[in-house]
Amino acid sequence: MTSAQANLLILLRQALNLPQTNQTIDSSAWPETLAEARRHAVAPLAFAALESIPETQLPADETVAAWLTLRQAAVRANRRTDAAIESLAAELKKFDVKPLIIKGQTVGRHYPDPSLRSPGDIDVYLPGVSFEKLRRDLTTASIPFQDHSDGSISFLWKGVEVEIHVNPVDIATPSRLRRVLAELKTVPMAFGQETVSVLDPVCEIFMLGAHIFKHVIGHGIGLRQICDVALACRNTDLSVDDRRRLLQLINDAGLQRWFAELSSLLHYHFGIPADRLPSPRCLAGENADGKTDLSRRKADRLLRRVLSAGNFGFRESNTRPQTALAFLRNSSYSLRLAPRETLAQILQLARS
Amino acid sequence: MKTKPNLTIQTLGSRFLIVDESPANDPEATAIHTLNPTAAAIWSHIAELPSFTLEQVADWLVENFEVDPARARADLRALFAQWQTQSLILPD
Repeated sequence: MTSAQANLLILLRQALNLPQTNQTIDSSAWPETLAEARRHAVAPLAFAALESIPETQLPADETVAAWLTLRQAAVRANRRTDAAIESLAAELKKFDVKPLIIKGQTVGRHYPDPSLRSPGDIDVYLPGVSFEKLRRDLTTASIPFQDHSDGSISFLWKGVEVEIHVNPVDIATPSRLRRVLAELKTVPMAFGQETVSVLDPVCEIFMLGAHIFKHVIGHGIGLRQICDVALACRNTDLSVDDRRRLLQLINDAGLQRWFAELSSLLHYHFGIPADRLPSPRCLAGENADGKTDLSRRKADRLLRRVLSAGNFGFRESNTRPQTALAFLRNSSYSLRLAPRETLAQILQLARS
Repeated sequence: MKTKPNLTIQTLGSRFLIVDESPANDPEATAIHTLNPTAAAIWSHIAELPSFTLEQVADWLVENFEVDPARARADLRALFAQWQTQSLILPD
């Protein structure tokens, strides 16, 4: 791990009020730390932690100014994205459609300051709406849209990209997907004057973990997505029934080994306590007697992959590898963790 | 003169930064101005006032920082000229 990467992890744990380690900041690596934070789409969040850095260790004025500019841009973008969700929900209400908003903006509620989470596009699932009708309606409304290889449709709404997904969770194995979809539950969430549906906390943790797996075996995943799932876990006090449901979802999806890997990362590098982890054995209450599937080796292995990838695979050159090539390159890792789901993801990609 | 409305102040240790969310009326831009401790003290003072003149601020500076009146006026003239160029202070 480079000094810049180590600095960034310290800043993120500080900004997210997660337990601190005894590691110290290397103040000679601030410009590189800012570059890492940008690559992982967590610069606005990391800026919040600078307030706790001793005066003598703070970055130079020009680095602080560049960092602050990114924070302000995120604050503006979040305002714009939240307003776009409100407006989209109002528009869909006219057609009696209540959107299910997934990932992105809905996860912001777990952050100490949601405006510091770098926003992406708006991910939506429209229950009961056929894609054929959606295409017709968008054409009638003169809204240009784009069809994607995974079946989703995207378009711009109030200047923000909206992606309508075929399914609310990223599971490619059809039989497993059917079982998972039957278990999904939603809760209401307000955006301004409008109310949308979001996944309930149990399903949200599952969905975030499954989403990260899809990207880990594909382009790669950055620290923003890890922060999302870390905070969702830290902030959710699972009841016995909740733990049973989450374990069921993980088993249904065949992602037990993957969730053990992810939980190890969250535990050893983000300080999430064992009783808040989506690790199958922790969920089954088996960690109390020494049986646990958490391991430092798994945590370090996944952290290396995350740190080398950046946000959705954007490396130093700021270019993304070809998707199929990325899947093939990462397949030896993902096949060990979830063989059926990895093959299903690759097949889905090949078909499209 | 008066300070531009809706500016955000960010402090980091003894650093004092002014965040201007709409420089040159561009809503997508952000301008960051870093002030030294003396300029920060002057800014904190004038930001509290509905409007001010160079003379009033010079008197306050002399009273609170024991500086030479002529030097205070000259330094303030240069500082306010810079802030006017940056649109941080506006005419009444």
